[in-house]
Amino acid sequence: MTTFTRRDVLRVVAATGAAAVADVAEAREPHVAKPDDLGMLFDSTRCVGCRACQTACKEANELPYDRHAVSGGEYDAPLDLNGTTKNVIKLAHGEGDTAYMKAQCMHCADPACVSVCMAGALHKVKGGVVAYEKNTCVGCRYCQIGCPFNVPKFQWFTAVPVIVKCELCRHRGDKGAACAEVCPRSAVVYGKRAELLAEAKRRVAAAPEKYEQKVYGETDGGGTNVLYVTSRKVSFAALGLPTLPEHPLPQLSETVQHGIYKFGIAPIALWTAVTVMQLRARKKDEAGHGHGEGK
Amino acid sequence: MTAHERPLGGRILTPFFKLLLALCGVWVVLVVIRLLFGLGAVSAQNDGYAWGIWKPLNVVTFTGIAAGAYAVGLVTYLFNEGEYHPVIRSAVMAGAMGYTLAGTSVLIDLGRWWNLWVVFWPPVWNLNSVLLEVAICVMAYTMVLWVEIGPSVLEKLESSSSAKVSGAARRLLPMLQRAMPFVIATAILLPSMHQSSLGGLFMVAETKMHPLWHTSWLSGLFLLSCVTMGFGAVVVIENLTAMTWGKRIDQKLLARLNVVPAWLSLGYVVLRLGDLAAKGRLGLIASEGLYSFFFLLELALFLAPGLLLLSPRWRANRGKLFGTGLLLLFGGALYRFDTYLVAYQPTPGWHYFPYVREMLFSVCLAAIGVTVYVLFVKLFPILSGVDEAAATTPPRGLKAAGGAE
Amino acid sequence: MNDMGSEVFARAESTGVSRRDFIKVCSAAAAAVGLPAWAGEKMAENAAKGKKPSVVWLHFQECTGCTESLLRTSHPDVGALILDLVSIDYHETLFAAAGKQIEAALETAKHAGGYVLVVEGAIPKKQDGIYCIVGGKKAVDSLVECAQQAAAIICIGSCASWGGVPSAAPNPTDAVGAPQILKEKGIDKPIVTLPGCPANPYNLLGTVLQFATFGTLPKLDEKARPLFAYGRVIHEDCPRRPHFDAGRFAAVYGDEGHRNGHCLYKLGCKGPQTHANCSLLHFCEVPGAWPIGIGHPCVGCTEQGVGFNVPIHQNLPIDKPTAPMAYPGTNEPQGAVGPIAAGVAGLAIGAVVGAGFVASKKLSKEEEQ
Repeated sequence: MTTFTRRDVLRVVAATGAAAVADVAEAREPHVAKPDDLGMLFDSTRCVGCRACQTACKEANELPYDRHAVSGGEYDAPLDLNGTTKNVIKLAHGEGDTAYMKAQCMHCADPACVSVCMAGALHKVKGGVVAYEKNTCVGCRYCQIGCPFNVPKFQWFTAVPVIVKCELCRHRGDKGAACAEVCPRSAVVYGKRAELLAEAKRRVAAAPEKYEQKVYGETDGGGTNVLYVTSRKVSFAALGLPTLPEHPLPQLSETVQHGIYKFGIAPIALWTAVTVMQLRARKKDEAGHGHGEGK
Repeated sequence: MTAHERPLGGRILTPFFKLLLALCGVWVVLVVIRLLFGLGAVSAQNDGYAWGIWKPLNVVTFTGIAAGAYAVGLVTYLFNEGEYHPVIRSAVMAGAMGYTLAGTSVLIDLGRWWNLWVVFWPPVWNLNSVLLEVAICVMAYTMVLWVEIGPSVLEKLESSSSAKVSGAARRLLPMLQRAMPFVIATAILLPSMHQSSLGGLFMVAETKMHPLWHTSWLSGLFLLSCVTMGFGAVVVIENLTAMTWGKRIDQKLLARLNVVPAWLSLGYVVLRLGDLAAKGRLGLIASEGLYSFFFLLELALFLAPGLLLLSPRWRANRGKLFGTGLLLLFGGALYRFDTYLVAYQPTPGWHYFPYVREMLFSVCLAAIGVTVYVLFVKLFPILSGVDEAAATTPPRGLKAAGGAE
Repeated sequence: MNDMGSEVFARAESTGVSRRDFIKVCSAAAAAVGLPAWAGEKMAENAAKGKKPSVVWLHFQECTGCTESLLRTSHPDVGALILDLVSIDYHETLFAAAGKQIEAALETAKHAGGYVLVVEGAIPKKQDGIYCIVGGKKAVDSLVECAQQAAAIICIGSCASWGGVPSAAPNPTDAVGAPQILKEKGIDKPIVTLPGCPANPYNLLGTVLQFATFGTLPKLDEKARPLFAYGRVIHEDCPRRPHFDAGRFAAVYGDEGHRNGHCLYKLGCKGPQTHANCSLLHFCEVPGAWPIGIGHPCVGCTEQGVGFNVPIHQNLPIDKPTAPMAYPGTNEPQGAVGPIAAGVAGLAIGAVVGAGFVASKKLSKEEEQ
């Protein structure tokens, strides 16, 4: 009877391992933020926690107020971004001081959510804004897995859910982001990324004892269009902003996938090889036994 | 020693079958609730853990079990070891059911399931998305598996009392058999693609995964472990059907078959540890508390069967082989759960544990699979080692396909 | 309470104030200070027994607004009652006397000692303090002399507390508050400051009456302000706070937000930086009669560095988030691990593993047989 030789085993391993090619492929080119991309700058040293931005966002996006599920449906403030909240103010505790954090979509230069979205419901539009179009969304929630900031939120308690996240008020056209429009302290400002980045750097350099000497979003995760500056006493991590590598998050995944499936070479080769083997085997059987291998 | 496949025959509406049908009914109720009130009504999935147990269990583990078709298929068709044909139909049946269940679960789990047309409409495809590739391959592979069941069904229909049906079957069967090489090639290609991609899904989440699990080798590790799971599944299902219906097992065949997962399992362990060593993360194995525990448990569940299955004496023993088959299944399943849930941490503060009704959904879904499997093996020639006498007893309690009296 | 048949009550009754009203005033004053209800009765008792603390009231660089606000209490006629609850032994505005007569009254009071010295107005230091001379005496000297004999010193109004309006840039007379002068001169007496422009009269009343009744001063903060009145900022107790929290602001006077009574932060309200109890104790005993209540942003008149320093319509950052529990944290716990579900899952997994193990062993044995 047939015994498996080491060669046979190696062939099986090779066949299965063909799909496991990884680092040999060239890294995929990252998409970089353009200077004219639309974005925002948030200065946590200026925010007073008035939440005008939170209210303005609800009004501009026609989102309902939140209800606290625990207390039985009373109106309450949201704990986090959720299926009806695209912008939220949180209180961050730093070293001997507190600051407010404005959380919303970061509008990454090379977004993970866009890379993983099956049918491009999440895609970049003019101005580098990461937009959502429900018509091609299947609700698979891969974007929630992919986003390093955990921004996209889902509507869990409706028969007709959508993914919810800040879209920089692209529906308001030239008026720009509603949150920036109402901020009484100009803690959040809206504009072109290059200008915002320059302003952020200027502020940070002008008061080095006050500000953390880094503009978050300049290169984090490949760069984001929403930038943050903070005081030395409340670090970016305390604000809830994750420490990200400098390369964009989708780079590894896309490099491996496209490396394996480049031009469909590997799949076609495998399929052809097996077909040829089967046809040859059948010919042998037909010649030897006079009837085909039935299946 | 090959044994021709035969329908099992016998009563269909056994008490066990009735229980299964009841569970199917419960599943329908859960689905209706989900459709009316949203996913949050039947599952504890939340914005932090957008994928709960349904993905790793209903999709990835069930298809891992279903990968018996792939595993045996690789051995049979890649090396033309025709001797494994007796187990392949059963494996393909389990495969078809496993994938159908996975696809069904995905359909229920999709928030906007009416937009599923996008998977069939290339102009909107985002070719960067690993999940898209998984979706297309899984759907295609499910169809291929049912096509592979085709010959079993047609063989039965050939002897139908209705002339029209038997005539049609007699014409279709040779056509199908001629197309088989192409079908088989597709059946080898597609799982290679999506089983690896089910692991590849998590490459993008590098900042949200524990370093003991995140690696660019996720695709390879998932592919390797799905094959070992497949071998395990074949052994377990063969034994379960034998214990339930007294069909004969060809232990020597299974023993020969199971030297492959021995090497693959050990290969998995080597790859896993080697990858961690290359990244300088070996130290984490001991220092990460609960994560270390799960990692070591996983490793043990692969290492133990890997070593044990190298021994011919072990493989020759039916119970021991069954035991290691289970270990292979548990190991693969644990690896999937760990990757999807344990190692995944969105931000500190998020917690997730499935509801009882959520777990019930998975159990009932599995029940559907078992229901259809039982139905098919009783009606159609799928199982080998079935006695002639049993085969000629017509199925009772349900109008049998093909109009057998 | 029948022994309260004193002259005070007689006079009170003749001016249309009943005994009940009198005790009510004392109770209100006691409540304002944070003393228990019975303290009000004790105060009234002391007053009836004629135990009235002596008060010497000095005026320097001031507008007399604090005195006037004290007298602008209309219902009941508490002005008169205040003059009966305490013995004001020197007050330039209220005394009919003038010239040498009034200065003689001051000397008498100083000689007696043990009085409560109330200072109204700032004290200039420029050129040895010649820019405020009353009765031929420099304000600085007058203050020091009176303070040395006083039992306690109360600085009423922002001017006396830290300099107030006269100290606004460029501060040509180098005006400072009384505490600073006293510190420089090394006079260590109990000091209370009651900043405000004007200070709320009930804050003064409560402080003085506590001292008169119990001989103690209310708890003070590091700027000698009583905590019962200055412990919180206006922002914490402002009735328009819900509008702030919801982001509803008046942008200009007269706009829709302003007419709807929205928050005045955008108009430069200094409520968040200003320690005072104006939002709780309104003025002139008319509910709603206080700046924010009538639609004008708080100018921070009690707060040194804010009032008369930062422009009225310029808004300032808010340092401390008040009511911190009203904001979510950056990593709120969300999602839960249901104990029943965990139990069920554990049992199920255990059952599967156990069954597998048993079946494996059984099949093994069968094989060996």
